[in-house]
Amino acid sequence: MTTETIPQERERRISGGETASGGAKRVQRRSRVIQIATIAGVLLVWEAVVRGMGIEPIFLPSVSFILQTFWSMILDGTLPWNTLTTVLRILSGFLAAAVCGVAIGIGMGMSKTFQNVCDPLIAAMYPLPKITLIPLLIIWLGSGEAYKLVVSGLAAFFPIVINTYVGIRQVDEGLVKAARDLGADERRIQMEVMIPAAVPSIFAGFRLGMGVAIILTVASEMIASQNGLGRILIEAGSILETEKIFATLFVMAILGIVVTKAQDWVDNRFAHWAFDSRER
Amino acid sequence: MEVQVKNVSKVWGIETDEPVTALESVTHTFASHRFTCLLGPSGCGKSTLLQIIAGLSSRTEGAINVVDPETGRKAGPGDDSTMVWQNFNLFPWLNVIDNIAFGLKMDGMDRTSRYGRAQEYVDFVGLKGFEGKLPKQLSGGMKQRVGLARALIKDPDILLMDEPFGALDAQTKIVMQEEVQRLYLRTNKTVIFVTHAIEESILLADEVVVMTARPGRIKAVVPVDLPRPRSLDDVNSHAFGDLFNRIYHLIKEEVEKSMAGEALAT
Repeated sequence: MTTETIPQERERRISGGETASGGAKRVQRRSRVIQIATIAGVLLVWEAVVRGMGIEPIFLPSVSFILQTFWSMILDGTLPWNTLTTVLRILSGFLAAAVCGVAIGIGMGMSKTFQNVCDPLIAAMYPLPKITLIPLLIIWLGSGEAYKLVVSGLAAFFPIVINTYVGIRQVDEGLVKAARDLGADERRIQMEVMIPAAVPSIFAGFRLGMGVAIILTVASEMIASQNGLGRILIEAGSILETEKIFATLFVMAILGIVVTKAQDWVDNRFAHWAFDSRER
Repeated sequence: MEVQVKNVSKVWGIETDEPVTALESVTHTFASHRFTCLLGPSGCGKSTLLQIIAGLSSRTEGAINVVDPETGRKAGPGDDSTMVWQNFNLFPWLNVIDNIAFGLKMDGMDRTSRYGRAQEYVDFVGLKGFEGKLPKQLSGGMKQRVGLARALIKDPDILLMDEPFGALDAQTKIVMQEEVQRLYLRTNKTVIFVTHAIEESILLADEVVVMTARPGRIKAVVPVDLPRPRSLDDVNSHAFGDLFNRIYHLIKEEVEKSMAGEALAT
């Protein structure tokens, strides 16, 4: 948010009044209203179509029925408990991937030898859809927590390691020269220039990694699990409780929004210098 | 400190089939406490020469000696110099004061003292009130003030400037040229200033070193004896006009030569 106030300040100074920033705010408020109205409109049409055409709830439950189910699943503890379980699995897989991915990516960016060691391994593993590893991982690790952690962590690892490596490699040579000219030795150049310069690229890797960690965690729960949102989906699907499926999907959509907003916040907080678009 | 450049050559891609000679046995002494402009058509290797003097680029042949003519003290290339860059090369994630203090941080100075010193230089280049701004929030002229302060804070004996005003608009350029001249008169540093603008070189330099088109060699050394401080008012004077004509014809030959070379190559 801090970055957003700056151009407004500048605009005010240039225009000598409130008009420019006031206008920008009005446009922002208007588009917010349109966005909310669109969602409300879609839900209203949905409700009307289901009621008017008498569609069976096992095919498409009405919005009001889904909300009712959602509420009762919250009250009986099903949703809170399983959401927490899934979120913890996603976070632990993502965290393991972030730590390993950033560390190895930086190592590859700094050392040609290390890059030569890692490159063929990553090139061989990266294009493989990680979901295809599930049978193998269940044989090796059983169907408990270890397997879920490994499959989501592995999937998230690749975008993070590749983005970190690319971020380090693509550092502006001019900045490296400027730092060297100002007395930085190789180690200081790595710490003070190359790693900070790679932060936006690393965060972009986090975004991609988080996305696949969510997918693979839920998929692993759908295939083998006692609990979690993926398990609820499979269970509800097998006994045609379509309203439960929708209630669970609703939770996952909210989860997605929360994750995106959290990442926006982190980007704005730590890498705002790199985003020109938000500045103007 | 004076910079003695002796027989310096630079060949790019020497291990390939088509090596390109950027500099060919350049010999010149950049005098102590003097303002020297390196002038030449684009691609003549003047920026390469500056980076070799700064110790940031290797040379294929030759030697660079940095010597204090009064005491005889010697230094390596880059030891006593800092660079101001055409495209600023500010660290985009650091705010103004952290950019300016960067060199002191590399010297191991503690936070409080380096911020104290940096604040002096913020004031010196007229950026008071902008300490917390990021480079992207600054205009081109302000960015180059940060670049200048960042180089000056190391208190180098030699200031190297690589077309520092090339990316600025015409008005800002005029202001910055006057400021650099004032700065030079006040601090009396050795300045080596790369440019392709004839007017700028006469306005600023004690001596204009004209370089040839690729491969870069020294074509002529033109002393500029106009009284200081000089301003744009002097541009219309006879002496200025004579110098301009002389340098213009030296440069024109080179530009035509390099364009003919390009035409042959295509």
